[in-house]
This record gives sequence, structure tokens and C-alpha cells, in this order.
Amino acid sequence: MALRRPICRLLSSGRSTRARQVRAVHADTASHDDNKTKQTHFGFQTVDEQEKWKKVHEVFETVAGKYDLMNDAMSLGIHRVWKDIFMQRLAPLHGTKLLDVAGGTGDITFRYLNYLKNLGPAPANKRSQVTVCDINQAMLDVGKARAQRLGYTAESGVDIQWMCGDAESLALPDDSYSAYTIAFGIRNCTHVDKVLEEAYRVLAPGGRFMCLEFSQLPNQQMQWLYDQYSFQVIPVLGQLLAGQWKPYQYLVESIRQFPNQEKFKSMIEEAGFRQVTYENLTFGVVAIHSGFKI
Amino acid sequence: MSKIQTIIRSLRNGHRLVRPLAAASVPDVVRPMRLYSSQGGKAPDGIPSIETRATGASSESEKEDQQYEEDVKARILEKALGFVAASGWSVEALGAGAEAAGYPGVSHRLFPNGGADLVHYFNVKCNEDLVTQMKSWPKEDLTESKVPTKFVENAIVTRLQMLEPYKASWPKAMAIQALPSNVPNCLATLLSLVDDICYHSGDRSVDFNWYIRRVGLAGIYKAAELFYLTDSSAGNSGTRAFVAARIRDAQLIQTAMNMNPVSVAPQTLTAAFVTAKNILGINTLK
Repeated sequence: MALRRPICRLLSSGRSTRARQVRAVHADTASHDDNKTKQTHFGFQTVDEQEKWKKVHEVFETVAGKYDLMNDAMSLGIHRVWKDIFMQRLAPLHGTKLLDVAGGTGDITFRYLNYLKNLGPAPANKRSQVTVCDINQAMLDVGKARAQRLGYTAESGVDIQWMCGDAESLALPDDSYSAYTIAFGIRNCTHVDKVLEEAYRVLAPGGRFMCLEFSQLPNQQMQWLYDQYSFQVIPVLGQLLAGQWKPYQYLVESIRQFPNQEKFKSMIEEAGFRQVTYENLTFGVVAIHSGFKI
Repeated sequence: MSKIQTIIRSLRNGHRLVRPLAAASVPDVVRPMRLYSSQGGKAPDGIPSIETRATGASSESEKEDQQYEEDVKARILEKALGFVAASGWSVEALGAGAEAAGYPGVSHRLFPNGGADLVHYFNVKCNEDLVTQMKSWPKEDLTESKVPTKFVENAIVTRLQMLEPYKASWPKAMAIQALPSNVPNCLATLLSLVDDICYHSGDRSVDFNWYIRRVGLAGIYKAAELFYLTDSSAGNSGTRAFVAARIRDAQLIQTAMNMNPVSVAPQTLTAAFVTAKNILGINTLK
């Protein structure tokens, strides 16, 4: 029974054509409806800003338990490699104070802790620290439980704090962190520019902003292939493995709505960051953006 | 011929002709420009920069921004050199340098090539130092045949002595420079070094000798660098003697090449004849 709907969707071809139309239409309206404001996108739907916040919240509340399983299934496990590369690019040293925003289930945080462990014992005067911030308590709970299970405690030499908070208004003092990471999270925020401004505020001078996010493929054919996979396979997987269609439909749509590499780079520069660079992984399915507050 | 000259010039200016293998897989990465030189006149003109999208007043402010970023980087690198003795030409040294300059350790990633960027900075800095020193040295008389041996010898030894504080870790630095991705930068600094030495020693040639001098000098410098690493003589007198001997060799080769083929024809023929006799086993001069 549960299979019927996915299969129906699977058969309804021409879906991606619609998707592309919607994308084009959206790009058009986004510039025109400034006077209406308060409107934003939720996947391909246009919703009130308040509503988007609520809807995103619901999505992650419902998927939290299956989040890690679904990541593995949808990316064929490649998301682990992406995150490993992401941590290699950050290359933290002992004494780093990391703020991991939207890091609820701890994927980035645990890699950070591992990376520090592999550097060897920390000098006595340097204590590293990580603050995991997520807007969703359900995701944080999953992360906390994993940390317990994997044995990442304060005794391992790094202070871990779990904080429930909004990336657009962090309850943290200025200039208090040396690195800010956000992996697969900034896409879900209503005001990306506000998130970037907050990142700039909480980072100390010399601090680094790093973002891992889905992006767009520069190659048309590859993008087509990727579109097929996203729209035809991912929601089906969601239905089969997590029993949810809507959240995964939202996932792939929100990826299409997110600005491409160059656009996002200029947004980071507008927030005040310097030396902004990006690197494509897997042909541009995801991109790592990096900037410094100097 | 002028094309080769342009290529060598562009290498000298730090242009990256050979794209490192590492970059091939990620063609979209905007490579940070590696220009740590403080000499404004050497600003590259071929490298596409962010300035292309701005014009007029805004390009002026972007130039300032770029200068500011370069200053921050130079400050971190300068401090990092102080940690090379303890941590080597490494990311750790860069991190410690960043902290000494008042930035958090993670800003070492301003230098994506890690230790290689530090080595490059050090090379560029030493080259600049050498140029300032050479400007005050007395010029030797340069007639058509005379080679300013003393000047070149002094220049090479002075440049090598700048490595003195880092002598223990310099083999590592040479290994870093030999990595394929770092070769373009390494060649660029080497060419800029030998070009500066040639220029300040009075070389104004515009013929093929231009290349011979520079390539020959580069060879001598690299050989001397290797010799210097194991030279424990007082005041590096061993290195000085080595450099002098190599310059003599180079002069000999040049003399041989400058010889008029007609005037040396009898000698050449005799040599060929003797060799032939040797091969045939009928040499009577045993």
C-alpha cells in the first residue's frame, strides 16, 4: 500500500520539466515581489517567512531519527567522504574554538574531535572547544545520544557544548569563535544573509567560515542526470526507508532553490568575509565555501 | 626566440604556466594569488583577478583590499618563520605564526599549500634582500670577455648564508619545493634570483648568451645549495671555494664554445685521429 504512491510518482514523467519551469518562474518572481516581502520559498512553494520556519522545523522533527540512515541511502554513503574532505579543508589545530551550526546529529563535530585526536596530544596551555548549535532539539538529542555511545566526553580533551538556537540570531558574544562550520544547513534558513552576518559577528578576527552545501553542476548533462535521480529516486527512498515523502520532496526542491557557487560566494563576500574560495566535490553536487574574517 | 624570453619572464614574475596536477580535478577553485612580494612594480598583469568586474573608483578600493589581505598574510608568514626551527616548514609553524600575529591558529588555511607557501615566501624575501644588498656593491669592470666572477661568487654565497638560521630544516624545504605542485613556484623564485644576479652584475646581453648565463648560474646555485647543506667549514669557506671552482668551470666551457671553429680545426682533427687510433689499437704512444 505504502508503495503505491511512490510508484505512481515514479511513473509520472515530465515531472522534472515542471520542476525546471517552476525554477525559472521562481527566479523571476523573487526579484519582483519585493513589495510583498515576507514571502519566501519552501522548496518550490512560495510561503510566508513565518510558515517556512515552522515547516522546516517540522521536516527535521519528523526525519531526525532516520536522518543518518537516509543520508547514507540517498548519497550512497558519499556524504561521509564529503564531510571528511570538509574537515580536511578546515584543518583545525589544537586550541581551535569551533561553532558547528546546524550540526545536530554531530557528523561534523565528531570528525572535528577525531581530527584533533589524530594530531596527537594537545599542549597543556591549549584547550579546544566545540559548540554544536541546532535549531531543532530533536536533532540535538540524536547527536547527544551518539556522542554518549561513541564515547566523546569532556574527558577526551575537548569541551563539547550543545546549544539549541537559531543561526539567524545566535545568543553568543561577538568575536568568540575561531571557526564556524555549517554543513547542509544554510539552505534551510529563511534569511541566508542574516546567517552570514551572524557568522561574521561571532567569529574572532582571523576566524574562518566554512560551509558545505549542495550546489549546482556546471555541466548540463550531468545536471539532468542528477535531476532525474533527485526527483525520481530520493522521495521514493524517503517513502520506503523513512515512511515520509514530503520531507524528501522538500529536500531536493530546496537544493534547486539555493544559489549557485558563484552567487553564494558573492553573498559571503558581501557579509564581509575575505579570501572567499569554493571547491566543488563530485562534479558540483556539493561545494565547500570558505572565507576569512581578516 | 622572443617567445622563450617571454615565458622565462612570466615564470619569473610568478605566473603559473604549469597547472599543478592537484588542481586538475577541481578546475573551478579560484586559486588564491600567490604574490607575497612587496614590490608594487612586479604586480602580475596576466593573472585574472577580481578587479575585472569593477571599474574606476571601486577597482581602486579593491586594490587596497587586496593589499590589505597581502599584508595580513605577510605578517603571519613573517611570524611563522620564527617557528620553523621548532616545527619545520609545516602547518604547525604557520598556525603558531598566525597566533603570534594575533589570529587564531585555524587561519593557517589562508595558505592552502601549507609549508610550501612558507618556503616560497622565504625564498621571495631572501631574493629581495639580496637585491637590496647587491645594489650597494661595487660594479666590476665588464669588458666583452671578462666575467664578473667575484661579484657572482659573492652574490651566491651571500644568498646561501641567508639560509643559515634554517640550515637544519632546509633539506626538508628543498624536498617540499621538489613536489610537482610546487615546482612552478620554485622555478619562478630560482629564475628571479639568477636574473637579479645577472642583471646587477652588469649583464645587458640581448643575444643567446642571456639564456646560457641564467641557466648556467641556476645550475651553479643549486649545486652550491646542496654542497652548503653538508658544509661545516668555518665561515662556509668550503662553499665559497666550491662556488669559485664551479664558476671557473663555467668560464672554461664558455671559452671552449667561443673558440673559432677554423682556428681549432687542427686540434680537433688531431684529437679525432688519436681517438681513432686508440679504438683500433694501433696507438704507438704507449
